[in-house]
Amino acid sequence: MSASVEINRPLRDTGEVLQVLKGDKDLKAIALHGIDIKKLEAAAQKATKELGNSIALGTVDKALAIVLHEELAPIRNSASGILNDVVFWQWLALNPFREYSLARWCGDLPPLVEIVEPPSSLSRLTLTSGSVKSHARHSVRRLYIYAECCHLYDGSYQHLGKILDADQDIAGAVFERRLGLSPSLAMALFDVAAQFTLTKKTDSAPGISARSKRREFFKQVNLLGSTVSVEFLSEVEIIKYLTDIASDIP
Amino acid sequence: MTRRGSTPFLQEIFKSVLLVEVSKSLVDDTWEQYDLATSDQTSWEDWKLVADVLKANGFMRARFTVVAEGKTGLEAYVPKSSNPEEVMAFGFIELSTHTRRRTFHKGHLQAASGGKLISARATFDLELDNVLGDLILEPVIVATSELAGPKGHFGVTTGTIIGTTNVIRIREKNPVGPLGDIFDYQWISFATSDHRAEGELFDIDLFADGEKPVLYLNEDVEHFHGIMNTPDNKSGKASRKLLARRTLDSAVAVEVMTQCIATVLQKISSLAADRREEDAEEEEFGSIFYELTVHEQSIVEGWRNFLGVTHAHEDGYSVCAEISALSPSAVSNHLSSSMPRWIRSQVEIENAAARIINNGLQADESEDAG
Repeated sequence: MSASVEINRPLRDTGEVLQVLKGDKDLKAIALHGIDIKKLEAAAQKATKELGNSIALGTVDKALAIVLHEELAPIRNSASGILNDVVFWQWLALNPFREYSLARWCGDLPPLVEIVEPPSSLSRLTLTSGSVKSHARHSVRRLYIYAECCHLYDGSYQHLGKILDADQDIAGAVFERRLGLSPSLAMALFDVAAQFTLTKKTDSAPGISARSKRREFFKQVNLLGSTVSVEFLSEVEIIKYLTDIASDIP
Repeated sequence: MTRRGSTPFLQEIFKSVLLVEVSKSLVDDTWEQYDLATSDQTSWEDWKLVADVLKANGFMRARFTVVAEGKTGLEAYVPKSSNPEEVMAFGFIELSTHTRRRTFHKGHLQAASGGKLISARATFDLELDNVLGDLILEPVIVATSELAGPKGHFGVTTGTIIGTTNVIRIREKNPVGPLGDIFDYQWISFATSDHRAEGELFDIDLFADGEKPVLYLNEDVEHFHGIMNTPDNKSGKASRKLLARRTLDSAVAVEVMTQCIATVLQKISSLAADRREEDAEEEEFGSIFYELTVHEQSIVEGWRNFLGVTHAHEDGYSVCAEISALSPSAVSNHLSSSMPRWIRSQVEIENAAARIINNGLQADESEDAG
């Protein structure tokens, strides 16, 4: 059996993620001073177990996001550059959070040894530097981003449920775009977007799903963002804009 | 009629001046002026700065002050004898996808020349260690309330950007990898190597673990190794083997460059498509440069005038901005026709690419010359 290759750079694609998962390649260990990796591992193990017991995804992710954000506080305060490092997040996803990442995003895969072509779901374990979409889709980084957003918003995690219990479509529309870079805008968007409900089909008009309405809403929000500095607006003004837009959606 | 947001013809683009000051202390209020190469107030070019360059000179902080004292074009919005801050505000939109920041930093506006002009000033202080990836500061004037246009019948709502000027772009660092020093070179047997065809002359690994991408050359091809290691003679008539090497140099160089550039170009186009999908408001994609791997960045920087459609790029950033703006058919045309033709013509004229190959191959003088 050939020895695995140790690498210390961003993984190039899902094929390389598969090689790491199969043990053909190893990610070089990262020295994290002041971080209790054991605590992170325990939290990830607990989350994996809960996923196996069919606990609600939002509940599992919420608890894990809080532990992750709290445990990374020393890095956030003294070496924030690490949080911008693709290599750091891929190591977390493929080492302490490996089983969680696989259970959460790749639960329907056959055993690793049987996989030849890497499935697209493995892209949840790769990152592109500076791409908000890629970061918001990463199995571990997304949890940190959600928790950080809540923490910046009001210093607590009380709004995490708003993000993690909502339709996944909303988190995608907010955090996979630059809208999620502003905590107050993100929170306002979740408040307004969560209010859309199904319009039932009638004799004269077809039904409209809540998801379709939200898509139209976010299309209008993105148009708004092209001419209005949402960064400048107060939270009350943001909410007013968003509710005005929502009221125009049939 | 009032719309949410503004219409483009209600936006003014105004001239401004950027003053950059730097400090070697995180606490003292001692600053020295820093001359920015691109801070020419007569052009519309973005102002660009590299944090690592300042840090290498011992600076820890930078202060950016943008001042607009001429006509902004927005004067008609301000009622007579009023303070412009009653209807509009000046400031920076700070945006970084790397550090996940999107905030507004308010500056000041005041009436000047007896109310005929608006004077704007905003300052932004930055700790250079906090620059990760790319940071954009966009100076803007926004409406602070619902605002009727100069002719009264159009209006804009609160927060609408009614004036913009040059954007400040701060990068964490410049990539390394000058032209001619782009690859590591290795002679290997393609016959015993996985995924390589026996008859191929070379293979490129843009994802190699080392500091540079690796150009693998096939040692199984008869005479290839020997010919490629034929040294240049200082004077006199070139031998047939030397002539053969020079021809091969150029041929291999063109192939290597074309392949590398095509790979990187397609990646830039693909990242730009992703970004358009993820953010409809984004129009400028130069920062894709920072999403490329270090090796890809070296290629973009080193061969920017081959990669770009135009040939006067200052850096990889502007190449990425240009490529990202191309339509799919323009990319296809560039890849299949104009770019390889341009490379071939340049290799013949300047022989620059041949030197790239030589740098690597001649390092191994101990090899059998044939």
